[in-house]
Amino acid sequence: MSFAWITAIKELKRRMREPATFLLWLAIPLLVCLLLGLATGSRGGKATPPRVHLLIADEDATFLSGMLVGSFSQGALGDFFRVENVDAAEGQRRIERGQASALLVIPRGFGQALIDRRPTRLKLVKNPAQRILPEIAEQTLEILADGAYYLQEIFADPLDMIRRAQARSGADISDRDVASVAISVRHAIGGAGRYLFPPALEVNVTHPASSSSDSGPDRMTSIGLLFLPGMVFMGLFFTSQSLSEEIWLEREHGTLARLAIAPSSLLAVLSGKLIAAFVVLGLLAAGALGGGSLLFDLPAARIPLAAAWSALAGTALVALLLLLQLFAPNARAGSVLTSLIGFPLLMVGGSFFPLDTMPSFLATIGRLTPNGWALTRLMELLRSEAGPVEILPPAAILLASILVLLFVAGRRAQIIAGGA
Amino acid sequence: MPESMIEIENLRKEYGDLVAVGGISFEVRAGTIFGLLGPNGAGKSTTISCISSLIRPTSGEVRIAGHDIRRDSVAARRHLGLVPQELALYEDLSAAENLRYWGAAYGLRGRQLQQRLASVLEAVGLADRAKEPVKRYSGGMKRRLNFACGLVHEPRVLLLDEPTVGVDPQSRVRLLELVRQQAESGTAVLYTTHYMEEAQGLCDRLAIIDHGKIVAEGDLAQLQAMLGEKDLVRLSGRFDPAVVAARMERIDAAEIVQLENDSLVLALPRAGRALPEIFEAAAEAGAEIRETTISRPSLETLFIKLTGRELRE
Repeated sequence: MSFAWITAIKELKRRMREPATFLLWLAIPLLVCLLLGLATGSRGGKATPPRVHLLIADEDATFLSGMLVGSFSQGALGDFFRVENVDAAEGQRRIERGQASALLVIPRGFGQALIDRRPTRLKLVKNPAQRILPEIAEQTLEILADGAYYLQEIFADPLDMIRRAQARSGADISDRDVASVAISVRHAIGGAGRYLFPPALEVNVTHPASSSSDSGPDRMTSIGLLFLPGMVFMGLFFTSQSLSEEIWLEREHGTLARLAIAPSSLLAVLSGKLIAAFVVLGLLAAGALGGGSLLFDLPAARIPLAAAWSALAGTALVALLLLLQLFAPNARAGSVLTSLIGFPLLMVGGSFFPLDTMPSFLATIGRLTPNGWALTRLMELLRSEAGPVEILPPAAILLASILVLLFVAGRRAQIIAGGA
Repeated sequence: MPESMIEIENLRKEYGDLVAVGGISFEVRAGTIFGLLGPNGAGKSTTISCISSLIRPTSGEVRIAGHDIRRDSVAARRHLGLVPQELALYEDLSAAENLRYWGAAYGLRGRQLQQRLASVLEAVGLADRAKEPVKRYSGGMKRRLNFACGLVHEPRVLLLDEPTVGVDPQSRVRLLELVRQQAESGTAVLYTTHYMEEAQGLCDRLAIIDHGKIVAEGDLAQLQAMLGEKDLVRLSGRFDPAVVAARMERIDAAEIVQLENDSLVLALPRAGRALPEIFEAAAEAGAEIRETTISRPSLETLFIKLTGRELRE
């Protein structure tokens, strides 16, 4: 077994003797993921968006008021609303207790007012303790009210006929009147048909580039893809910084000098450290991405390759930070130097703020930073836009960078070991 | 005559204007202990660093077991064992894990490594606690393990850089015994220290180093002969150096080793008998004496005589 592997095993043993440190490293990205998950309402597994709990007091109890009540629980609106019928007093009490998002009171005479084409008033009581869900209820109601107005306009003639028939015969409308209303409705639909079938305005729904995928990711997956990779890279940076600082302990304890005079080269020693770093970072990335996959419903099959890529990128980062530490005059300066370079890179490179949310010029710069470049590849892997074959050339670039950094670090370590 | 294992010729190391080692030469033969005695900052550690290839000398030659340390570095280093001043250990690993790692650094593997590990642990008295993390060890135990890590690969040349600094008396005795055993087994040992007693009791040959230069070299008898039978008399108090020097030079066979405003060191035979004359001369020179001590000839007195400084300054 080569001395590099022996050093790697030794380093891993040392890491395992400090499980608390390892868990702290893992905790950084996981904690951020957890906070992100809580902030976006994820509960793990298939995430479901929050629903508006709407209490409806239908005091009119007519066919038309029933249609309004039904519209909240049918079709697409049914995914967003949970409707519960109550009387007005009970609804008011429950709103005061904060037990629902809003209370809609449909007053007596609502249906007749629609037929008579008279103004009528709907009462919506919002839960002051909630902000977004009552707002959704209000806006949905406004849209329905607008819809009712246009229906009134389109079906003005049939409605007039119904009103006149009611005036003539009360509740018992004759078959002749019903037939006349039916023909009038048919004409109204025919007149509006050229606008409605197909609609004159076509709504073209597009997804932003960042959230497109073959299968069409749901909302939580998009949030996960937006934030998780950056969080993982942030965790990898802190871990890499900590791992690179180990060289100061080696210098201060004299082990670096002792290694420098052994026949085994310091290049082998540093190689061993990087191999160990790859394993540690791989475990951390797998843990963080695995946690993220549970929170944000990312496909588990993509995690191993994404973790391996993250580990390789993290190892390159360790090599870079290690080199910086070797050029620093003391441990504190080393820490400041690596932070000074690392933090701006993290900020611009998409770890603090997702690249997709940045102004385009800044995002372009961010993608050109080493970490931004690696982060973009990670996102491609997580979105299945790249696979093992596509990731090989970038991996070769990373590997070459690691070898160059390692070589320079080895030379530098040999020089400073004499002064350690 | 035993083979020469360390050969140093005109070794020089400069840091800008500072001359850390100023062209020293000596050799250490197999089975002998060579002591490099000098105060802190004399150039002992720099010499060790140059010999071990840790730092590149400005000029001069260093050969280990016949291999030039610069041109044939790996072969030379294969024969070297270093016990540094600091505890160069991984404290979160056990003694056995440390030894296994340092043995592997010198190319030992498998059964050979395992045998050496057991043998060295036994020799330093840590076999029964070999699996404990080093951070639980006492200072003396760590020192012994630090020593063991330098021996695990059975080097033919052992460099010991003040290995007993901060060690309790019991551990020190044990360490010195281990050094003797290494020499008896044929290892060439270069031992640096500023403890005169250690050097006197341990080393076959000695070099006294000060300000990067060897001021005296030889075996103990040769060095003591350099001092002769002169005792050292140290006077502390208040002196006018010019007046005191002029008066003291009149005392028969007295040699002024050191003279400052507050101290005077004289070397002279049978100093006890000459004390009245010294006090009289001091009084005539207007000196005020607060304390007087007389030292018998030793390496320490030789060092003071040669350098005008205390060994521990």
